[in-house]
Amino acid sequence: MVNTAFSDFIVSATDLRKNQKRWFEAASRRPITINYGQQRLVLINREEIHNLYVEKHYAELILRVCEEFAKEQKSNTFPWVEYLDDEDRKEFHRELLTCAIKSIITSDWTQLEYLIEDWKATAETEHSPEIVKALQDEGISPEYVTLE
Amino acid sequence: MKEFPQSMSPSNDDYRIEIKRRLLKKWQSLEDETPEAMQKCKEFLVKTPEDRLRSGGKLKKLKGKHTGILQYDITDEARVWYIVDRKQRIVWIKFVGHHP
Repeated sequence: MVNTAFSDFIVSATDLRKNQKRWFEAASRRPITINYGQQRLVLINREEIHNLYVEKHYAELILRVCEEFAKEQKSNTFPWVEYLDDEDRKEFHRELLTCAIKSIITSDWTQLEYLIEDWKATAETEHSPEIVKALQDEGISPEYVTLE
Repeated sequence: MKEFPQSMSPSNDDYRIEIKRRLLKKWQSLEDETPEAMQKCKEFLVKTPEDRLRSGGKLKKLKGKHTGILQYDITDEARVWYIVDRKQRIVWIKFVGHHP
């Protein structure tokens, strides 16, 4: 048995068969690599691997956005960004990075999803002069009626 | 007396909805087109207008220069934009209409 840099245990298929309960219980806490002929297979907690996939998905997405932003390219990742003005585009980029770092630390990606949805809705709203005008309109009381 | 569905029983914590007079016609035509979705929307605005978890993914909180304005997706096409006065418990509808 070798303890690796990735904190997994490496066991043979024979050892796994002989001590199934032990290794299954250990697998809920850390990955178990099984040597099976020439292959190396892994037993891993499903939630952990799910988080890794989600992290990979968002890491790729954010790197693409960063590259587009750095090159001042039109965004293919979030095409709606073009409806935002320069100031809001920079704000979106700052918030995206801050939120992504928090999500990596907490493994909670909900806030990042909300952030992207909110900025998308903002950009789409910004794309309609009629709606923007209505939202900027400060007048409140006289022209409002109670909805029954 | 107006009847409410059970989930819509009026309470003191309810928000009052105020809408611009010129948007009333649009609101009413959406009620005719999509009565169920409009009922859900109204219930949401009256009970929990800022609660993302109760919105079923329909609530968006606008950012940047529109911070403070909320958007509820009535259907795939129709939206309502509003602000919330928590102190007076009023929802001010600023615009209702179709997705830009």
